[in-house]
Amino acid sequence: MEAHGEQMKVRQAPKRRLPDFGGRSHKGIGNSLTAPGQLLMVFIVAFPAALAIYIGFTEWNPTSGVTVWRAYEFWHWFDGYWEALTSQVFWEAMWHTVLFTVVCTAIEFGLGFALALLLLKNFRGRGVLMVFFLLPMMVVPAVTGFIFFMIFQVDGPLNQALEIILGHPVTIDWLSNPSLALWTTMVGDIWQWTPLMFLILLSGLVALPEDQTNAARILGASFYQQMRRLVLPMLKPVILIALIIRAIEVFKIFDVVYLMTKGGPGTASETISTYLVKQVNINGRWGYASSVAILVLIFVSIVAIRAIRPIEQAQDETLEELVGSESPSEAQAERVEEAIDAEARV
Amino acid sequence: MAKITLDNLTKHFGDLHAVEGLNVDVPHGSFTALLGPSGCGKTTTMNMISGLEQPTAGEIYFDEFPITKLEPGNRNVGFVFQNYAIFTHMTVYENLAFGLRVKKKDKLAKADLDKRVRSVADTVGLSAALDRNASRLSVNDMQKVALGRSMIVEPAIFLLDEPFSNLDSAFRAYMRTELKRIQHEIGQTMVYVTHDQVEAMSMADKIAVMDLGVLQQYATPDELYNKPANRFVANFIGSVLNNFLPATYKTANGTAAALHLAIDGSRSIDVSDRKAAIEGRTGTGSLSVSVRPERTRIVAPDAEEATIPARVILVEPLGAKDVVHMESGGIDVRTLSQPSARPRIGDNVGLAFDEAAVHVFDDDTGLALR
Amino acid sequence: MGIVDAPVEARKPVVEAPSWSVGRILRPVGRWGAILLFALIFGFPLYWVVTMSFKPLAEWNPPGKVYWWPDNSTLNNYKSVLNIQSDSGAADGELSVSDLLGSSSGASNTNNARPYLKNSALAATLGTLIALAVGIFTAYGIARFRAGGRMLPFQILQLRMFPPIAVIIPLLFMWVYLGLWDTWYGLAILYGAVTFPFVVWLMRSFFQEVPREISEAAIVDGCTQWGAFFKAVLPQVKGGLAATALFVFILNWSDFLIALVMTQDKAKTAPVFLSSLQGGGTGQQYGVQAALAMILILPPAIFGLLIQRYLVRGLTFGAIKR
Repeated sequence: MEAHGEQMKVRQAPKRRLPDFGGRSHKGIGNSLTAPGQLLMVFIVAFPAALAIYIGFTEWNPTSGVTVWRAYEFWHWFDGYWEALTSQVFWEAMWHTVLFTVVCTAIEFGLGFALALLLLKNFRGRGVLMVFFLLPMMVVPAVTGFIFFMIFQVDGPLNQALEIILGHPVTIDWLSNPSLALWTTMVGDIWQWTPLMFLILLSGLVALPEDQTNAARILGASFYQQMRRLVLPMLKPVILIALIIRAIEVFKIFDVVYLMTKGGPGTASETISTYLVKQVNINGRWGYASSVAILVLIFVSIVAIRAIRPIEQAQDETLEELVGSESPSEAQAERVEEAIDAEARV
Repeated sequence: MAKITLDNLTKHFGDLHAVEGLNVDVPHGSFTALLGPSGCGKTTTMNMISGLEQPTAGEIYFDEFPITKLEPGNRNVGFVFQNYAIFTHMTVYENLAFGLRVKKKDKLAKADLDKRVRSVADTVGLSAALDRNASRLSVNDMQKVALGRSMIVEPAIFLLDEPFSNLDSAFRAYMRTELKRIQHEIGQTMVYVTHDQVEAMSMADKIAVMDLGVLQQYATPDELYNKPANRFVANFIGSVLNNFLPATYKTANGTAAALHLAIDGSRSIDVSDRKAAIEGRTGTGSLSVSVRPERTRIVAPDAEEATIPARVILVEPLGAKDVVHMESGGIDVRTLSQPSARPRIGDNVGLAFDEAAVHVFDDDTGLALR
Repeated sequence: MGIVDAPVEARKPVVEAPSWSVGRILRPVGRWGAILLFALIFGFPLYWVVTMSFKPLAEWNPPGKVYWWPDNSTLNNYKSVLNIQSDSGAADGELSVSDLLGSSSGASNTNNARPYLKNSALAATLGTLIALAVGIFTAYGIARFRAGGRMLPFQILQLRMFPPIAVIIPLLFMWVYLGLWDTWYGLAILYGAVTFPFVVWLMRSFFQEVPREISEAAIVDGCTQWGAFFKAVLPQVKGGLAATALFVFILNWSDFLIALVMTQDKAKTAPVFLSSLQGGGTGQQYGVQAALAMILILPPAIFGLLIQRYLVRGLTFGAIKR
């Protein structure tokens, strides 16, 4: 008994240090760990936001002869906001961006889902194909813009290919035709990001419990019925995440558009980002750009609050939980066991 | 109702031979179990019958129709999965109605469908839970949904893959009798996969014992127990581990034949009735004798009927009976005895075999010689 | 069994489909056709930029003719971009780019992308280090100590939702004021700030996979909290940390917008240079641009393939974990 008591004491000694260390509580440690991050947030969000609100009420620009702190000399209250809200180009850019977001996200989803279904079953060469379809995602977006800029030239390979297929000369001005330019620029984003949609949906499909679809097959459900009644409803959380994430990213679209059309011809493919960059880089209207930026931030914040929740939720769950299967399938474990056993005896 | 014929059914996964040349006839309306340890190919066989897997070779007939080329949905089978494969995003009602709603032909009117769903829910005991979300059901209720969902399309053949392995023991016993009752009432052909030999023995009309993808024996439970075809079956069937003892063959004069056990002080066993089989075996290798623990009894060490001497090393009381573990000439043997005559650990006893229940196995082939 | 109305014998396996059907033959054909079509469409743009980078000037984009394959393949585009003196080009009687632009060889090469590639590499690397240095601790604080409550991770993620340009305009004033504008380190600080949310969300998901007992065991063994973090927890997430670093580097390397606004010439990055080669007074320089594009694609492609497994996790903020 005595020896036992000795041992207990020895074991407990270091444990006494556990609850707090160096006089700081766990909360203190957590706060000191996150302090640099919080500081960074203040530095790149709170402070700039305050500055932007300030400048947004002025007509200050770097060539106006005074430092940014004395921008109040150009104070004009809400004139900048009013100008933006009554500007046709601003609303055009806004509309283009929303259109871009909706169309690209939808097409990427459709193509990505089709591709995921095509590559769901294992076959020889699937691994290589997977890597191949991964490649566009890794291309620098500006390069993507440049590549499609080449492809969509009037004398470029696309028109030439169409000429070969259709049998007569094709001279579509993809990039300089105002009614085509916006749609053309979408192709770049779709090419680059369909693979992400494909990968997200594929991992969702793979995590789907196989037995459910098998049960449906045995009950006589067609492929279409399995999709509509089982796969899509069970995949809903994953689909939601994929759509939200792509929508967030597409809304920020800039590089591809800038490299392909610079927002032109005229304002035919102007998006919020190209519009803002032009205000800063070309027009030098920093005050006005600040007002527009604040408007965009307000708009995005309203949408963003609703969009974050599913992602947050997903972080705390595994994919299997997301797609709604119950406990890990024992039948599948059995099948694996069976295969392993069979392997062992070969 | 249909009869199932598996004709030389074979399934290879690459180099893995999951099922090899399986020949089994499941008669109309019978209740057949596929029994074997995990990895024996029973689930693969089931998947081939249901159409989830395509066989590498061989054919499956339902009655006289070859069906391996048919889609699973056209085979008119019901399948209950081990983990039930409940559609968790639907209600119980929607789960049950699924099979009827996806029918392309003979679509039911809404009222008829409702009637069928309620009737099935009543049969499996889910009437009160119809509107509940299937993901929130207990395991027992999930089992009921799985059964009801398959029943509703009135399949000709019912396939069950370890349907009770996740249930608690009380409900498992209840579902066993319930399933047997349902099968008896509708006289449906049922095939049932299990690794639990008690479950198979208690429920099935006939049992196909499989190991390593190969059929070991296909027989009634009684036959499996009393006349195991080989050592694997003799070992696998039975609630207490079977006794195996090495033996050498000795002929005496004329028709008499006996086996000597490789244990000092043991009595030889008369095997004159299977002299021909033993002498006619292909090799000349060693033999084994097996006798079930329940066909042996403890006697005094110097008793006339004692077949082998033994020393008690462990007693497991099971309530009605004790399992007595003994050691004899370096070999572990077991017997069942009455708790009223419980031996003490370390006792030297004699173990008497019921010689009518002794099986002889050829060690080379594992086959029973009789 | 109330449901069994029909006579039992009447029910037989429904042999509906014949044992062979057109669908059975057509389905794999259609499947492979579709896969092939996808591969063709998704592969062509890459094919085009790769072949273009080896084409001589005459094959870039001549009116009315398309060169599907470089007939006279050349390395001159790469030499021009990397400012390697081309001695063979002139000997072959081939028009080199610098000749075309009227600048004699040896004089300044307007296509020289070296300084810009260097800026890209410096800014992306330092930016990655900054993001990691700040992000790892924030992630650990959130994952292990729930610092900042439930709101902090939200706020950090929300950063990613704003168009960067909207966030950057006010920073532009500050950068000009602080003298950080048009410097590679000024750019790197912004890169660090912009990719910091990715580090937090990715590392948080990795830290959450480390059992709490590991750090507790280290503390019981006499480590301090910091010691436990560096000696016990961090080694557990080595792989995740490497993946996060490479992922963030790819993001920084791929940036175009921030560099476009935040640099002029001194600290201009390679993607911005790629864009400035477009049009302008020199006409389209497809081959040269393509060569630069290939050099730009290379690091992210290599790193991307290295961290394949984590790409989706990264791009979905850790929501999809494979």
